[in-house]
Amino acid sequence: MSTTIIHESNLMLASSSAGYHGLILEEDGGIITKAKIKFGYTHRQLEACMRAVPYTMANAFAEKADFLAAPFYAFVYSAAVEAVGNIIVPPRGKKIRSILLELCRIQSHIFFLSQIARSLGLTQIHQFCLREREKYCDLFELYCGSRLGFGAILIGGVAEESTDGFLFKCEKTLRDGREFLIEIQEAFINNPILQSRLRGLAYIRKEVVMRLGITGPNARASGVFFGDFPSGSLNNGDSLSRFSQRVEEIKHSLNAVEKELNLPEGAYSVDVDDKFSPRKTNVLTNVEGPRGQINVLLFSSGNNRAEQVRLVPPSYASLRHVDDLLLGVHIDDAALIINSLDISFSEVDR
Amino acid sequence: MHKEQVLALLKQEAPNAKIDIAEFGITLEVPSSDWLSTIEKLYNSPQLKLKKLKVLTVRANTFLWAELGSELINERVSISCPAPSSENKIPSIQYLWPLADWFEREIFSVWGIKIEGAESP
Repeated sequence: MSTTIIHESNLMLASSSAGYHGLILEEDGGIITKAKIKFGYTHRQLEACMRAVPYTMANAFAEKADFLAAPFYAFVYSAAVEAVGNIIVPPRGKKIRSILLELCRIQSHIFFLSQIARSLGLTQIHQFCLREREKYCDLFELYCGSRLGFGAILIGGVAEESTDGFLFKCEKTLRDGREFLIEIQEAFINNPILQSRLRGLAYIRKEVVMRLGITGPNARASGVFFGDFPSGSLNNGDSLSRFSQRVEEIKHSLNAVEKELNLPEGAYSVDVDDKFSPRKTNVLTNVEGPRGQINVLLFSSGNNRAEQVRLVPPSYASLRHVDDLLLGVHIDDAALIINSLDISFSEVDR
Repeated sequence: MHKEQVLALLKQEAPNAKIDIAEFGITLEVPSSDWLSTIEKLYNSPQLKLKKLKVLTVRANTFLWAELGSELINERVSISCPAPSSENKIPSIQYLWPLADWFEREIFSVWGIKIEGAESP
């Protein structure tokens, strides 16, 4: 038996993530006999930063938790502050938020597809997916100037009015998105390499999902449903189910954005300044992000800074199971298994 | 289940707890010595089934704080206890929720609160 220490630098592992992690593996004849994932190398103390600045400024720290789901973190933090401060977001602002969140979910899931393609060595499909994702980044850039949606969602509403040009480009991107799904079905989903590598790989049983508190597409792929998200064509908990679940959710989000495009008249935001001081209380808010349920626990202290903020990322629960999933599989599948869980180390090391 | 029913069940399972009904949920405050036993009761209660741990953290450097969830009730239930002195330890809840090990590791690393029986720290 030999011990192999693998770091991200010499094997592409969980490349869909920002931040570093280590994976210590023991292998025997190419089969993993022991696995230990390590993280915490780039902890940024975002929550401590959020406590040190006024509520309005802390929003910018919240969205840095996960660069692939920045608007979701901004939304769930804003929702917490709005709850303790009795702020009512105008209907137009709510609808624009919904559009931005669903667009973000689509780009995150397409990034997932690209990472799976890269793990399988299907570089052309990897590039094809990235090219499609750029269209969603273009939309965010058009809307708020940031290609990842930083600063798009603020406390009290959204950053900018949605222009006709933005809505027109949204419609075009949605049409392109449907064509993309047809092409990806033929080129990728029906690809025998993908089918043979992902089918039956890294099963997560329903009981494990419940016990570890796994949420989002990973839970739905194992047949555990929360909310009104669609079911993929497979729900048996293997990597192929997690893949098909995300493809299904892209379709669902495309439809959801289309329904939201008729915006009501009115203001898109209410003004909240940095002296805003909600009453002393605490609240727990959550939103279904691209990787699962994002929770924010906020304790307000009566002044313009939070007493305590805790971001609870969904990748935390999925990552907890990696050590077990890697046991007994071939070392070549390690990267694929981690990518199939769509873990963001950025939000784990927040 | 109505809030009153939830409250009655919580009082039944945790008679020594100080129950605070806030705008956004119900908080149970228990002594450090009752931390684990109260959580076990809430976890095993057939009517409450508080089997989800959403977050375990520390509030104001002095209180352990856990957010629990259930499929049966639609109320937010939190439980807190005073953090033990530096010589004492608080029991781990990892055997109920494996996910708690990283929360407990953080509680030790950031706030210096020692957890008895924790795997990671």
